[in-house]
Amino acid sequence: MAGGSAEWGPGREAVRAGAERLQEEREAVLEPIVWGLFSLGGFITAFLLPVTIFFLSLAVPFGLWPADRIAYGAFAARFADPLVRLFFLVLIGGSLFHGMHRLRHILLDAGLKRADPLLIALCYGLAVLGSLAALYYTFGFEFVRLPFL
Amino acid sequence: MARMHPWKRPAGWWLRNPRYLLFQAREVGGVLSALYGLVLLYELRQYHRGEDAFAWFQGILTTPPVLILTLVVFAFVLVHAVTWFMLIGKAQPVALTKKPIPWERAFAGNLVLWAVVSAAVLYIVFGGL
Repeated sequence: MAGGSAEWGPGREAVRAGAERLQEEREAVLEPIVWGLFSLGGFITAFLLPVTIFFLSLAVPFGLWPADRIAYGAFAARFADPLVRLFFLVLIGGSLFHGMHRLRHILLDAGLKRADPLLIALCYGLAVLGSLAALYYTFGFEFVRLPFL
Repeated sequence: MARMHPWKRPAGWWLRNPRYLLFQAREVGGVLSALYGLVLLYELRQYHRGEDAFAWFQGILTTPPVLILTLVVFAFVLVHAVTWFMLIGKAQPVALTKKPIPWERAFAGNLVLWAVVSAAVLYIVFGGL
């Protein structure tokens, strides 16, 4: 039977230490949000990124398209369409939140658990700032002019 | 104080099984998609700077080292996309019918949808073939 003294019990300390740590942990607010954005971003990049890389970066150098297809004039003509702007905004934001979350978890798996607050700041910081910059370049520039961008 | 020794995966665990290797390749593809997202962002910035800035960046993108890097990114992004399409029917089986739809069917459906979306992007964003 589990009589004996309550003072000594191997393993108890570890259990209690775990319980205390659990209480110290705040309710997970960030994780569900970033996993959701990761999933959404993965969906967006899977469907939209391959075709974009192929026609924006590969078709012209490999001789499938003449250079003027992606030159400034052609780009400007397409970029006037709000749907095209929305496309770039969604793709940039989605890829950044997807990839930066993945990068954070690769680094956590590699053993950088203690650096997590820094990783959170850097990875999601870049994703947030990059998405805001994309918002500026796609729609915001018509309303405000930011000289540093 | 009792010390805890949680089990750790041995280094290189993902080299032993092709499935794990593919898993890691998809993870890398996810990170590389963010890298290309930054390229897109910089391209938009150059577009706003004007024609010369835009042409300068286009020139950089077509130099051999950058082009090779782009090919690598493209390969990983393709792995990312295709394995993702395979995953959707497995991670969450589509249960609209009595028996869940087999993942192969979901995969095939995703590929068809992917082709349709890609064609739409080609016409709307790049002005057609």
